[in-house]
Amino acid sequence: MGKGEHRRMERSPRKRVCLLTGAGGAFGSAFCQQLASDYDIVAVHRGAPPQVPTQDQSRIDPLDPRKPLVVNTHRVFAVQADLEDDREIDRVVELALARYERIDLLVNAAVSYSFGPLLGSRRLLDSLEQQFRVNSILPVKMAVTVAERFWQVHDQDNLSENRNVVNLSSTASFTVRADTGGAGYSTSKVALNYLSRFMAQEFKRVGVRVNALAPAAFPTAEVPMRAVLDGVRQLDSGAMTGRILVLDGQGPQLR
Amino acid sequence: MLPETRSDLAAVLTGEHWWRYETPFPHVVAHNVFVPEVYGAIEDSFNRELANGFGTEPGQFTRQFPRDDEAFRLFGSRQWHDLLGEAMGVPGWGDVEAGIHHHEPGAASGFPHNDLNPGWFVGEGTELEVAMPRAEICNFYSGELYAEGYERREMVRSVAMLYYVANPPWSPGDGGETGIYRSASCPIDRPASAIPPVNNSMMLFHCTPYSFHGYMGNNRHPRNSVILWLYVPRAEVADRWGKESIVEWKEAPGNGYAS
Repeated sequence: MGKGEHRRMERSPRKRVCLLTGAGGAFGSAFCQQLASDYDIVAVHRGAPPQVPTQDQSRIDPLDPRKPLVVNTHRVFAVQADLEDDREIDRVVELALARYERIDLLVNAAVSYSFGPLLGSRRLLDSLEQQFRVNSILPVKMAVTVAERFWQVHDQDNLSENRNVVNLSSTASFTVRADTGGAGYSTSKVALNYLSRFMAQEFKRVGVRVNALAPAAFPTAEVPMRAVLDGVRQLDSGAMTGRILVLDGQGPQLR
Repeated sequence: MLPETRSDLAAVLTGEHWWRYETPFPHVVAHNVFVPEVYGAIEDSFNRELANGFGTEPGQFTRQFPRDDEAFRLFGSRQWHDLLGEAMGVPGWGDVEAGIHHHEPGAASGFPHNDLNPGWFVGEGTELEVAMPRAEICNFYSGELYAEGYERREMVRSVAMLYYVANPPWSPGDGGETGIYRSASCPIDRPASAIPPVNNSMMLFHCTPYSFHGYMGNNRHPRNSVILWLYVPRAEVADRWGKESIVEWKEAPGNGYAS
Protein backbone atom coordinates (compact mmCIF):
# COMPACT_ATOMS: atom_id res chain seq x y z
CA MET A 1 0.00 0.00 0.00
CA GLY A 2 1.47 3.35 -1.05
CA LYS A 3 1.45 6.39 1.14
CA GLY A 4 -1.20 8.11 -0.93
CA GLU A 5 -3.52 5.09 -0.82
CA HIS A 6 -3.16 4.92 2.94
CA ARG A 7 -4.20 8.54 3.24
CA ARG A 8 -7.22 7.96 1.02
CA MET A 9 -8.32 4.99 3.09
CA GLU A 10 -8.07 7.06 6.23
CA ARG A 11 -10.23 9.74 4.73
CA SER A 12 -12.90 7.59 3.17
CA PRO A 13 -15.18 7.40 6.22
CA ARG A 14 -15.14 11.17 6.62
CA LYS A 15 -18.07 13.23 5.54
CA ARG A 16 -17.36 15.72 2.79
CA VAL A 17 -17.19 19.30 3.97
CA CYS A 18 -19.64 21.62 2.25
CA LEU A 19 -19.61 25.39 2.50
CA LEU A 20 -23.16 26.50 1.71
CA THR A 21 -24.36 30.07 1.20
CA GLY A 22 -28.03 31.01 1.33
CA ALA A 23 -28.57 28.43 4.07
CA GLY A 24 -31.55 30.30 5.54
CA GLY A 25 -33.55 30.06 2.30
CA ALA A 26 -35.87 27.27 1.21
CA PHE A 27 -33.18 25.43 -0.77
CA GLY A 28 -30.53 25.97 1.89
CA SER A 29 -32.77 24.74 4.67
CA ALA A 30 -33.75 21.65 2.66
CA PHE A 31 -30.09 20.98 1.88
CA CYS A 32 -29.25 21.12 5.58
CA GLN A 33 -32.27 19.04 6.60
CA GLN A 34 -31.73 16.27 4.10
CA LEU A 35 -27.99 16.13 3.50
CA ALA A 36 -26.47 16.82 6.92
CA SER A 37 -25.90 13.11 7.39
CA ASP A 38 -23.78 13.07 4.23
CA TYR A 39 -21.91 16.36 4.56
CA ASP A 40 -20.36 18.41 7.32
CA ILE A 41 -22.12 21.63 6.41
CA VAL A 42 -21.00 25.18 7.10
CA ALA A 43 -24.37 26.89 6.69
CA VAL A 44 -23.98 30.59 5.96
CA HIS A 45 -27.14 32.61 6.50
CA ARG A 46 -27.83 36.34 6.55
CA GLY A 47 -31.14 36.35 8.47
CA ALA A 48 -32.72 33.49 10.36
CA PRO A 49 -30.66 30.29 10.48
CA PRO A 50 -31.92 27.12 8.81
CA GLN A 51 -34.37 25.21 11.01
CA VAL A 52 -32.01 22.34 11.66
CA PRO A 53 -29.89 21.38 14.63
CA THR A 54 -26.76 23.54 14.77
CA GLN A 55 -24.08 24.33 17.32
CA ASP A 56 -26.55 26.83 18.84
CA GLN A 57 -29.91 25.15 18.46
CA SER A 58 -31.22 21.66 18.97
CA ARG A 59 -34.46 19.77 19.35
CA ILE A 60 -35.65 18.56 22.74
CA ASP A 61 -38.37 16.18 23.82
CA PRO A 62 -40.43 18.32 26.21
CA LEU A 63 -41.37 15.26 28.23
CA ASP A 64 -37.73 14.26 28.66
CA PRO A 65 -35.53 17.23 27.74
CA ARG A 66 -32.26 15.56 28.75
CA LYS A 67 -32.78 12.55 26.50
CA PRO A 68 -30.37 12.59 23.53
CA LEU A 69 -32.34 12.71 20.28
CA VAL A 70 -31.28 11.10 17.02
CA VAL A 71 -32.46 14.20 15.13
CA ASN A 72 -29.64 16.17 16.77
CA THR A 73 -26.92 13.80 15.59
CA HIS A 74 -25.89 15.62 12.43
CA ARG A 75 -25.62 19.28 13.38
CA VAL A 76 -24.66 21.89 10.85
CA PHE A 77 -22.22 24.66 11.70
CA ALA A 78 -24.26 27.83 11.22
CA VAL A 79 -22.53 31.14 10.53
CA GLN A 80 -24.42 34.41 10.25
CA ALA A 81 -22.85 36.77 7.74
CA ASP A 82 -23.71 39.48 5.25
CA LEU A 83 -21.68 38.30 2.28
CA GLU A 84 -22.10 41.58 0.43
CA ASP A 85 -19.28 42.72 2.69
CA ASP A 86 -16.00 41.25 1.36
CA ARG A 87 -14.57 41.02 4.87
CA GLU A 88 -17.42 38.70 5.77
CA ILE A 89 -16.48 36.37 2.91
CA ASP A 90 -12.98 36.11 4.36
CA ARG A 91 -14.37 35.50 7.83
CA VAL A 92 -16.74 32.78 6.66
CA VAL A 93 -14.05 30.88 4.76
CA GLU A 94 -11.66 31.23 7.67
CA LEU A 95 -14.29 29.89 10.08
CA ALA A 96 -15.07 26.95 7.80
CA LEU A 97 -11.41 26.01 7.59
CA ALA A 98 -10.87 26.52 11.30
CA ARG A 99 -13.83 24.24 12.03
CA TYR A 100 -13.19 21.45 9.50
CA GLU A 101 -9.68 22.09 8.11
CA ARG A 102 -10.87 21.66 4.51
CA ILE A 103 -13.63 22.51 2.05
CA ASP A 104 -14.62 19.81 -0.45
CA LEU A 105 -17.73 21.38 -1.92
CA LEU A 106 -18.79 25.00 -2.24
CA VAL A 107 -22.50 25.47 -2.97
CA ASN A 108 -23.35 29.05 -3.88
CA ALA A 109 -27.08 29.33 -3.16
CA ALA A 110 -27.38 32.86 -1.80
CA VAL A 111 -29.82 34.75 -3.98
CA SER A 112 -31.28 38.20 -4.41
CA TYR A 113 -34.29 38.83 -6.58
CA SER A 114 -36.70 41.59 -7.42
CA PHE A 115 -39.23 41.41 -10.20
CA GLY A 116 -40.88 44.22 -12.11
CA PRO A 117 -40.89 46.21 -15.34
CA LEU A 118 -37.93 48.22 -16.54
CA LEU A 119 -40.22 51.03 -17.64
CA GLY A 120 -42.69 52.77 -15.40
CA SER A 121 -40.99 51.95 -12.10
CA ARG A 122 -37.49 52.32 -10.64
CA ARG A 123 -37.86 49.30 -8.36
CA LEU A 124 -36.20 46.77 -10.63
CA LEU A 125 -33.58 49.26 -11.76
CA ASP A 126 -32.71 50.09 -8.17
CA SER A 127 -32.24 46.39 -7.37
CA LEU A 128 -30.10 45.49 -10.39
CA GLU A 129 -26.71 46.08 -8.82
CA GLN A 130 -27.57 44.05 -5.76
CA GLN A 131 -28.94 41.18 -7.83
CA PHE A 132 -25.74 41.05 -9.86
CA ARG A 133 -23.59 41.39 -6.72
CA VAL A 134 -25.31 38.49 -4.95
CA ASN A 135 -26.30 36.23 -7.86
CA SER A 136 -23.30 36.64 -10.19
CA ILE A 137 -20.29 38.14 -8.46
CA LEU A 138 -20.59 36.71 -4.93
CA PRO A 139 -20.22 33.08 -6.14
CA VAL A 140 -16.97 34.01 -7.86
CA LYS A 141 -15.68 35.85 -4.81
CA MET A 142 -16.54 32.89 -2.59
CA ALA A 143 -14.77 30.41 -4.87
CA VAL A 144 -11.71 32.62 -5.31
CA THR A 145 -11.46 33.18 -1.56
CA VAL A 146 -11.64 29.43 -0.88
CA ALA A 147 -9.03 28.90 -3.59
CA GLU A 148 -6.71 31.55 -2.14
CA ARG A 149 -7.05 30.27 1.40
CA PHE A 150 -7.05 26.52 0.75
CA TRP A 151 -7.41 25.00 -2.72
CA GLN A 152 -4.36 26.66 -4.33
CA VAL A 153 -1.96 24.84 -2.03
CA HIS A 154 -3.81 21.51 -2.07
CA ASP A 155 -4.11 20.86 -5.78
CA GLN A 156 -3.29 17.13 -5.58
CA ASP A 157 -5.75 16.59 -2.75
CA ASN A 158 -8.33 18.60 -4.66
CA LEU A 159 -8.23 16.06 -7.47
CA SER A 160 -8.28 13.02 -5.24
CA GLU A 161 -11.07 14.47 -3.10
CA ASN A 162 -13.03 15.55 -6.20
CA ARG A 163 -13.42 19.06 -4.82
CA ASN A 164 -15.77 21.32 -6.70
CA VAL A 165 -18.09 24.31 -6.85
CA VAL A 166 -21.83 24.18 -7.58
CA ASN A 167 -23.42 27.51 -8.47
CA LEU A 168 -27.20 27.60 -8.18
CA SER A 169 -28.50 29.12 -11.42
CA SER A 170 -31.96 28.92 -13.00
CA THR A 171 -33.70 27.99 -16.23
CA ALA A 172 -34.78 31.63 -16.22
CA SER A 173 -31.30 32.27 -17.62
CA PHE A 174 -32.22 30.51 -20.91
CA THR A 175 -35.23 32.57 -21.93
CA VAL A 176 -36.18 36.22 -22.47
CA ARG A 177 -39.71 36.85 -21.23
CA ALA A 178 -40.44 40.46 -20.51
CA ASP A 179 -43.79 39.61 -18.94
CA THR A 180 -42.07 37.92 -16.00
CA GLY A 181 -40.40 41.15 -14.91
CA GLY A 182 -37.29 39.08 -14.33
CA ALA A 183 -34.77 41.05 -16.40
CA GLY A 184 -32.47 41.44 -13.40
CA TYR A 185 -32.79 37.93 -12.03
CA SER A 186 -32.52 36.19 -15.41
CA THR A 187 -29.52 38.17 -16.64
CA SER A 188 -27.72 37.81 -13.33
CA LYS A 189 -28.07 34.05 -13.77
CA VAL A 190 -26.88 34.30 -17.40
CA ALA A 191 -23.77 36.00 -16.04
CA LEU A 192 -23.45 33.27 -13.42
CA ASN A 193 -23.62 30.55 -16.08
CA TYR A 194 -20.79 32.11 -18.07
CA LEU A 195 -18.75 32.98 -15.02
CA SER A 196 -19.09 29.34 -13.97
CA ARG A 197 -17.64 28.27 -17.32
CA PHE A 198 -14.76 30.73 -17.07
CA MET A 199 -14.10 29.61 -13.51
CA ALA A 200 -14.10 25.98 -14.63
CA GLN A 201 -11.32 26.78 -17.10
CA GLU A 202 -9.17 28.61 -14.58
CA PHE A 203 -9.82 26.31 -11.62
CA LYS A 204 -8.62 23.27 -13.61
CA ARG A 205 -5.09 24.16 -12.67
CA VAL A 206 -5.86 23.77 -8.97
CA GLY A 207 -7.84 20.58 -9.56
CA VAL A 208 -11.25 21.99 -8.69
CA ARG A 209 -14.33 21.52 -10.85
CA VAL A 210 -16.95 24.26 -11.31
CA ASN A 211 -20.50 23.66 -12.55
CA ALA A 212 -23.89 25.32 -12.40
CA LEU A 213 -27.25 23.83 -11.56
CA ALA A 214 -30.23 25.38 -13.37
CA PRO A 215 -33.59 24.22 -12.05
CA ALA A 216 -36.93 25.60 -13.17
CA ALA A 217 -38.98 27.23 -10.43
CA PHE A 218 -39.02 24.86 -7.46
CA PRO A 219 -40.26 23.13 -5.45
CA THR A 220 -43.10 22.10 -7.78
CA ALA A 221 -44.59 18.82 -8.91
CA GLU A 222 -42.32 18.97 -11.98
CA VAL A 223 -39.20 19.98 -10.07
CA PRO A 224 -39.44 18.81 -6.47
CA MET A 225 -36.85 19.85 -3.91
CA ARG A 226 -35.50 16.32 -3.90
CA ALA A 227 -34.60 16.63 -7.60
CA VAL A 228 -32.63 19.82 -6.97
CA LEU A 229 -30.77 18.24 -4.05
CA ASP A 230 -30.05 15.20 -6.22
CA GLY A 231 -28.72 17.60 -8.86
CA VAL A 232 -26.16 18.94 -6.40
CA ARG A 233 -25.19 15.39 -5.47
CA GLN A 234 -24.82 14.47 -9.15
CA LEU A 235 -22.53 17.41 -9.82
CA ASP A 236 -20.57 16.82 -6.62
CA SER A 237 -19.93 13.15 -7.31
CA GLY A 238 -19.35 13.45 -11.07
CA ALA A 239 -16.31 14.35 -13.13
CA MET A 240 -17.81 17.10 -15.28
CA THR A 241 -16.65 20.69 -15.20
CA GLY A 242 -17.84 23.83 -16.96
CA ARG A 243 -21.29 22.33 -17.44
CA ILE A 244 -24.82 23.39 -16.55
CA LEU A 245 -27.15 20.71 -15.21
CA VAL A 246 -30.67 21.67 -16.26
CA LEU A 247 -33.67 20.49 -14.25
CA ASP A 248 -36.83 21.48 -16.08
CA GLY A 249 -39.00 18.49 -15.30
CA GLN A 250 -37.86 16.56 -18.40
CA GLY A 251 -35.09 14.72 -16.56
CA PRO A 252 -31.61 16.09 -15.78
CA GLN A 253 -29.75 17.35 -18.86
CA LEU A 254 -26.15 18.53 -19.01
CA ARG A 255 -25.45 21.53 -21.20
CA MET B 1 -57.80 19.68 32.06
CA LEU B 2 -55.68 19.46 35.24
CA PRO B 3 -52.92 16.92 34.54
CA GLU B 4 -52.06 14.74 37.50
CA THR B 5 -49.23 12.74 35.95
CA ARG B 6 -46.67 13.15 33.21
CA SER B 7 -48.79 10.81 31.10
CA ASP B 8 -51.75 13.15 31.50
CA LEU B 9 -49.54 15.96 30.28
CA ALA B 10 -48.30 13.89 27.36
CA ALA B 11 -51.91 13.43 26.31
CA VAL B 12 -52.49 17.18 25.91
CA LEU B 13 -49.22 17.85 24.02
CA THR B 14 -48.90 17.22 20.30
CA GLY B 15 -45.60 15.39 20.76
CA GLU B 16 -43.67 17.76 18.50
CA HIS B 17 -40.13 18.35 19.60
CA TRP B 18 -39.34 21.80 20.96
CA TRP B 19 -36.37 23.89 19.84
CA ARG B 20 -33.73 24.90 22.35
CA TYR B 21 -31.47 27.85 21.44
CA GLU B 22 -28.26 28.72 23.25
CA THR B 23 -27.77 32.25 21.94
CA PRO B 24 -28.03 35.09 22.67
CA PHE B 25 -29.27 33.45 25.89
CA PRO B 26 -30.83 30.06 26.59
CA HIS B 27 -34.40 29.90 25.34
CA VAL B 28 -36.87 27.41 23.94
CA VAL B 29 -39.38 27.88 21.14
CA ALA B 30 -42.18 25.37 20.65
CA HIS B 31 -44.73 25.16 17.85
CA ASN B 32 -48.06 23.33 17.90
CA VAL B 33 -47.75 22.88 21.62
CA PHE B 34 -51.20 21.51 22.55
CA VAL B 35 -53.50 19.14 20.72
CA PRO B 36 -56.31 20.97 18.87
CA GLU B 37 -59.08 20.38 21.40
CA VAL B 38 -56.94 21.71 24.26
CA TYR B 39 -55.81 24.70 22.22
CA GLY B 40 -59.44 25.38 21.29
CA ALA B 41 -60.51 25.37 24.94
CA ILE B 42 -57.72 27.80 25.89
CA GLU B 43 -58.66 30.06 22.99
CA ASP B 44 -62.34 30.03 24.02
CA SER B 45 -61.37 30.98 27.57
CA PHE B 46 -59.08 33.74 26.34
CA ASN B 47 -61.81 35.18 24.13
CA ARG B 48 -64.21 35.19 27.08
CA GLU B 49 -61.67 37.28 29.02
CA LEU B 50 -61.24 39.63 26.08
CA ALA B 51 -65.00 40.12 25.96
CA ASN B 52 -64.80 41.57 29.47
CA GLY B 53 -63.21 44.69 27.98
CA PHE B 54 -59.89 46.39 28.30
CA GLY B 55 -60.32 48.31 31.54
CA THR B 56 -58.50 51.62 31.83
CA GLU B 57 -55.23 50.82 30.08
CA PRO B 58 -55.12 52.20 26.54
CA GLY B 59 -54.10 49.75 23.86
CA GLN B 60 -53.07 46.85 26.08
CA PHE B 61 -53.69 45.06 29.32
CA THR B 62 -52.10 42.51 31.54
CA ARG B 63 -54.79 40.81 33.55
CA GLN B 64 -54.65 38.53 36.53
CA PHE B 65 -54.68 34.91 35.59
CA PRO B 66 -58.26 33.55 35.65
CA ARG B 67 -57.32 30.60 37.79
CA ASP B 68 -60.79 29.16 38.16
CA ASP B 69 -61.15 28.77 34.42
CA GLU B 70 -61.00 25.08 33.55
CA ALA B 71 -58.83 25.54 30.43
CA PHE B 72 -56.39 27.91 32.10
CA ARG B 73 -55.92 25.56 35.07
CA LEU B 74 -53.48 23.58 32.93
CA PHE B 75 -50.98 26.46 33.20
CA GLY B 76 -51.31 26.46 36.99
CA SER B 77 -50.72 22.74 37.31
CA ARG B 78 -47.71 21.32 39.07
CA GLN B 79 -47.06 19.11 36.06
CA TRP B 80 -46.84 22.09 33.72
CA HIS B 81 -44.62 23.94 36.20
CA ASP B 82 -42.25 20.99 36.39
CA LEU B 83 -42.19 20.53 32.63
CA LEU B 84 -41.15 24.15 32.02
CA GLY B 85 -38.49 24.02 34.70
CA GLU B 86 -37.02 20.82 33.28
CA ALA B 87 -37.04 22.19 29.74
CA MET B 88 -34.89 25.11 30.88
CA GLY B 89 -32.84 23.07 33.33
CA VAL B 90 -34.03 25.28 36.20
CA PRO B 91 -36.17 23.43 38.75
CA GLY B 92 -38.95 25.59 40.15
CA TRP B 93 -40.10 25.83 43.75
CA GLY B 94 -43.82 25.61 43.09
CA ASP B 95 -44.49 29.36 42.97
CA VAL B 96 -45.92 30.77 39.75
CA GLU B 97 -47.15 34.16 38.59
CA ALA B 98 -49.32 34.10 35.48
CA GLY B 99 -51.54 36.40 33.52
CA ILE B 100 -53.08 37.07 30.16
CA HIS B 101 -51.77 39.79 27.92
CA HIS B 102 -53.41 41.75 25.12
CA HIS B 103 -52.03 44.39 22.74
CA GLU B 104 -54.28 46.36 20.44
CA PRO B 105 -53.09 46.93 16.83
CA GLY B 106 -50.37 49.56 16.73
CA ALA B 107 -49.64 49.25 20.46
CA ALA B 108 -46.42 50.93 21.57
CA SER B 109 -43.31 48.78 21.45
CA GLY B 110 -41.49 47.88 24.63
CA PHE B 111 -37.76 47.87 25.39
CA PRO B 112 -35.20 45.12 25.99
CA HIS B 113 -35.44 43.95 29.59
CA ASN B 114 -34.51 40.75 31.39
CA ASP B 115 -37.51 39.89 33.67
CA LEU B 116 -35.22 39.23 36.64
CA ASN B 117 -37.82 40.74 38.97
CA PRO B 118 -38.88 39.73 42.49
CA GLY B 119 -42.31 38.92 43.88
CA TRP B 120 -43.89 38.01 47.23
CA PHE B 121 -45.85 34.83 47.81
CA VAL B 122 -47.86 33.43 50.71
CA GLY B 123 -49.37 29.99 51.21
CA GLU B 124 -48.44 26.75 49.53
CA GLY B 125 -49.57 24.99 46.42
CA THR B 126 -50.95 21.47 46.42
CA GLU B 127 -49.66 18.26 44.96
CA LEU B 128 -51.48 19.13 41.77
CA GLU B 129 -51.41 22.92 41.63
CA VAL B 130 -48.80 25.60 42.18
CA ALA B 131 -49.00 28.56 44.55
CA MET B 132 -49.87 31.87 42.92
CA PRO B 133 -49.80 35.44 44.25
CA ARG B 134 -52.68 36.25 46.59
CA ALA B 135 -53.18 39.98 46.32
CA GLU B 136 -55.87 40.03 49.01
CA ILE B 137 -53.34 38.76 51.56
CA CYS B 138 -49.95 40.05 50.44
CA ASN B 139 -48.84 42.82 48.12
CA PHE B 140 -46.98 40.97 45.39
CA TYR B 141 -44.61 43.88 44.71
CA SER B 142 -43.90 45.29 48.19
CA GLY B 143 -44.53 42.27 50.40
CA GLU B 144 -46.95 44.19 52.62
CA LEU B 145 -49.23 41.75 54.45
CA TYR B 146 -52.95 42.56 54.71
CA ALA B 147 -53.89 39.63 56.93
CA GLU B 148 -52.48 37.93 59.98
CA GLY B 149 -51.32 34.33 60.24
CA TYR B 150 -49.47 34.17 56.96
CA GLU B 151 -45.78 33.76 56.36
CA ARG B 152 -44.55 35.58 53.30
CA ARG B 153 -41.56 34.66 51.13
CA GLU B 154 -39.70 36.72 48.58
CA MET B 155 -38.96 34.98 45.32
CA VAL B 156 -37.43 35.99 41.98
CA ARG B 157 -38.40 34.97 38.46
CA SER B 158 -36.41 32.05 37.11
CA VAL B 159 -38.22 30.90 33.97
CA ALA B 160 -40.52 32.95 31.75
CA MET B 161 -43.18 31.56 29.41
CA LEU B 162 -45.07 33.34 26.64
CA TYR B 163 -47.79 31.30 24.93
CA TYR B 164 -49.60 32.79 21.93
CA VAL B 165 -53.33 32.21 21.69
CA ALA B 166 -56.41 33.76 20.03
CA ASN B 167 -54.42 35.74 17.47
CA PRO B 168 -55.35 36.31 13.83
CA PRO B 169 -53.23 34.39 11.29
CA TRP B 170 -49.72 35.88 11.20
CA SER B 171 -47.53 36.63 8.17
CA PRO B 172 -44.08 38.25 7.96
CA GLY B 173 -44.54 42.01 8.18
CA ASP B 174 -47.55 41.79 10.51
CA GLY B 175 -45.36 42.72 13.51
CA GLY B 176 -46.10 41.97 17.14
CA GLU B 177 -43.11 39.65 17.59
CA THR B 178 -41.18 39.17 20.79
CA GLY B 179 -37.60 40.24 20.10
CA ILE B 180 -34.56 38.54 21.62
CA TYR B 181 -31.54 40.80 22.20
CA ARG B 182 -27.85 40.55 23.00
CA SER B 183 -27.89 43.57 25.29
CA ALA B 184 -30.23 46.07 26.90
CA SER B 185 -28.96 48.79 24.59
CA CYS B 186 -30.06 47.09 21.37
CA PRO B 187 -32.77 49.00 19.48
CA ILE B 188 -36.11 47.23 19.88
CA ASP B 189 -36.40 46.81 16.10
CA ARG B 190 -32.96 45.15 15.78
CA PRO B 191 -33.33 41.81 17.58
CA ALA B 192 -30.96 38.89 17.29
CA SER B 193 -34.09 36.88 16.56
CA ALA B 194 -37.83 37.38 16.79
CA ILE B 195 -40.62 35.02 17.78
CA PRO B 196 -43.85 35.81 15.90
CA PRO B 197 -47.28 35.58 17.55
CA VAL B 198 -48.34 32.34 15.91
CA ASN B 199 -51.14 30.59 17.75
CA ASN B 200 -50.32 27.56 19.87
CA SER B 201 -46.60 28.43 19.84
CA MET B 202 -44.60 29.31 22.90
CA MET B 203 -41.28 30.66 24.04
CA LEU B 204 -39.53 29.95 27.32
CA PHE B 205 -36.37 31.40 28.71
CA HIS B 206 -34.22 31.24 31.77
CA CYS B 207 -34.41 34.63 33.50
CA THR B 208 -30.86 35.86 33.97
CA PRO B 209 -29.18 39.29 33.94
CA TYR B 210 -28.75 38.71 30.19
CA SER B 211 -32.17 37.45 29.09
CA PHE B 212 -33.00 40.61 27.15
CA HIS B 213 -36.29 40.46 25.30
CA GLY B 214 -39.05 42.87 24.43
CA TYR B 215 -42.33 43.41 22.67
CA MET B 216 -41.48 44.74 19.21
CA GLY B 217 -44.85 46.41 18.57
CA ASN B 218 -45.68 47.55 15.03
CA ASN B 219 -48.49 45.00 15.04
CA ARG B 220 -51.21 45.12 12.41
CA HIS B 221 -53.47 42.84 14.41
CA PRO B 222 -54.24 42.40 18.10
CA ARG B 223 -51.67 40.27 19.91
CA ASN B 224 -52.76 37.91 22.64
CA SER B 225 -50.76 35.68 24.93
CA VAL B 226 -50.68 33.84 28.21
CA ILE B 227 -47.64 34.84 30.27
CA LEU B 228 -46.22 32.91 33.18
CA TRP B 229 -43.14 32.90 35.39
CA LEU B 230 -41.61 30.27 37.65
CA TYR B 231 -39.93 31.60 40.78
CA VAL B 232 -36.98 30.64 42.97
CA PRO B 233 -35.91 32.12 46.33
CA ARG B 234 -34.22 35.52 46.20
CA ALA B 235 -31.14 34.10 47.95
CA GLU B 236 -30.65 31.57 45.17
CA VAL B 237 -30.63 34.27 42.52
CA ALA B 238 -28.42 36.55 44.62
CA ASP B 239 -25.92 33.71 45.06
CA ARG B 240 -25.92 32.91 41.37
CA TRP B 241 -25.98 36.36 39.80
CA GLY B 242 -25.33 38.83 42.62
CA LYS B 243 -28.01 40.66 44.59
CA GLU B 244 -27.51 43.80 42.48
CA SER B 245 -28.65 41.88 39.40
CA ILE B 246 -32.21 41.60 40.71
CA VAL B 247 -34.36 44.27 39.06
CA GLU B 248 -36.45 45.77 41.85
CA TRP B 249 -39.94 47.10 41.28
CA LYS B 250 -40.43 50.83 41.49
CA GLU B 251 -43.65 52.36 42.68
CA ALA B 252 -45.38 53.94 39.72
CA PRO B 253 -48.14 56.60 39.65
CA GLY B 254 -51.59 55.19 40.36
CA ASN B 255 -50.48 52.61 42.96
CA GLY B 256 -48.85 50.49 40.29
CA TYR B 257 -45.36 49.05 40.05
CA ALA B 258 -42.90 48.95 37.18
CA SER B 259 -39.50 47.39 36.69
